[in-house]
Amino acid sequence: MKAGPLLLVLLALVGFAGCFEEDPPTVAAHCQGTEQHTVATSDGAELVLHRHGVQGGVPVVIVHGISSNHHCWDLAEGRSLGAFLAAQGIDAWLLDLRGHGDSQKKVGGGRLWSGWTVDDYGRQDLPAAIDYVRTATSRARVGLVGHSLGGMVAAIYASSHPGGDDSLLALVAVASPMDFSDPDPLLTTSLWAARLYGPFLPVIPSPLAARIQGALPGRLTPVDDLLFNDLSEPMRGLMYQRVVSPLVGGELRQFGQILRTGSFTASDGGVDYPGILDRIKTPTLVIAGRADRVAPPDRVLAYFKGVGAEEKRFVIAGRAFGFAADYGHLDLTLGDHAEKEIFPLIAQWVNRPQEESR
Amino acid sequence: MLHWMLATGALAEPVLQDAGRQRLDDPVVLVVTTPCVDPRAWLPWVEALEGRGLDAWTLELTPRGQDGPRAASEVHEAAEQLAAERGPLRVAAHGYGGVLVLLADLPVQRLALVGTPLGPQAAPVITTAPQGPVTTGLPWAPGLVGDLPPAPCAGELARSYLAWATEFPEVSVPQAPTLLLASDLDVVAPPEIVRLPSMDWPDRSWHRVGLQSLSLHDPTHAELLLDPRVAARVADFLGEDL
Repeated sequence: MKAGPLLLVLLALVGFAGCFEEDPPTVAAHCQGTEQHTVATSDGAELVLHRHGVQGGVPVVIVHGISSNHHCWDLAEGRSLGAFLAAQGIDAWLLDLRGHGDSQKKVGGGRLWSGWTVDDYGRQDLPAAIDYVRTATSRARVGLVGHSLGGMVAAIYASSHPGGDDSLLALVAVASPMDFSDPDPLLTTSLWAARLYGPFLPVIPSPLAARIQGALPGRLTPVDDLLFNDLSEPMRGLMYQRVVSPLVGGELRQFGQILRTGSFTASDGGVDYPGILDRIKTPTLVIAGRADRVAPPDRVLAYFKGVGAEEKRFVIAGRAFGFAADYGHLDLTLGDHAEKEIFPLIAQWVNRPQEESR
Repeated sequence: MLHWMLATGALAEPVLQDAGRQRLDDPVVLVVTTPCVDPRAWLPWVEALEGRGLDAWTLELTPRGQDGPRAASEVHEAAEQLAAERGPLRVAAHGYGGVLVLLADLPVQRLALVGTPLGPQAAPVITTAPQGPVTTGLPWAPGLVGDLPPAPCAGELARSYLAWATEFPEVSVPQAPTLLLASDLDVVAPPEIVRLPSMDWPDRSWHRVGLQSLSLHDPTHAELLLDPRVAARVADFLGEDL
């Protein structure tokens, strides 16, 4: 049975995929004790970091994926990597990339609307956030964890930002694709959406589409199946309400280029990022979800293979590999088993003694 | 229906048979069934192939005393005999049967491999090796491969299947047009060990079956074999040049 036309419309609405945001600012139990820090980038964006901190613990910067925000890693009690890491004595800093979640302003006022690309997350946002955390914690190196696009921009930072790799003690890429060859029909459909919207719309209102999807029964469309495989109903609704941020035209255009060329290249075509992954010597953990339809393991594996670190590990979160579920794209950050099975892997990787790590 | 028994001197004999109607003027497709799986599971393939104007022959390998190389030599021998009588072959296989086809290094006109691993698993899988000389069904935990009808087979061969998850044998690269179908939820042959190892194959047609291909369902290893839509795709590919 084909679902092409329906998918086409939904993908056009939703954008590429992603971990809604900006509901009433109620503070859930797992958020209590968090601090909010603002950081200026060198090109004038004001970013927000949410610290689930433990003073003196290993600092870790945590990044969300495309069209998402920090709630992707901090949805509710029992689904918060920030709270989990803090409970392990780790100093967790959840970043909202520019235009996402709480990072909506320019330095000195005015709203961030559009006008940036994926490259800017790795070349501007991460350097600013990581430098800030290093200074605030008086630590030379930090852990860096990214989901999906967050892991991709972590690779930009680590491989091409001067001193980037040296500023890291551990890297964790979760569901971050690095191989776009042999495009599947879903990818080519996404390319179609990118070509359609990219040139004309500065911002795609994906939160609206997510709210609509969240209000519909899950089985009515295949969108749920594309995004998760192990997320129970109350959390599904919350996810669609909080975890999606708008998608900007610059991202879409760059993804259009990536899908067209089959490679994750800079927006100006000047850098082929998978080609310089070998510069990354930071111990790297790469996690893929067996039922991830956005970034399936065969597209994530190139990240693991490309990284030049001597110490690296590839994990596929699926039943055949001893996990309780076949993880979908968002299950890895907020699924029903993430706290029990994925968060400990991340904590263990970033919390090793530094002398062992480098 | 012509039954053709190939004598090999083993405990039992492989069975090569014209599975559908006798179609002497149509191109032949050899369907290599997988030891440990009931050969009747390939009936949707036979139906689809015959419906596409192809003459489907099935090969059922010896159930006992087998290991990978011996099973592959049975495939080679059977294919050679069939080709001698009917000319160049088109070959279709599912799962580990496809590995046996590659190990047999057959000269084929067209090849379709569905859910066939082409390399070791990318991360350690949880399996339990079967004990004893004979076992039944594929050596995977129930519930992981799907509802695949089991058949008795050599324990050694089943253990070889599992060994291939960590150390894959050297196989020939098909030079003929080859269709590769895989699913993200096929534990035996997920795309990372189908698509990636075959990227340099000279004439391969790769398709991920499931949601990424705008279908509503990611098939299991069993569903890749039993789904008539997959069978139709195999038949369309093997008869594409006719």
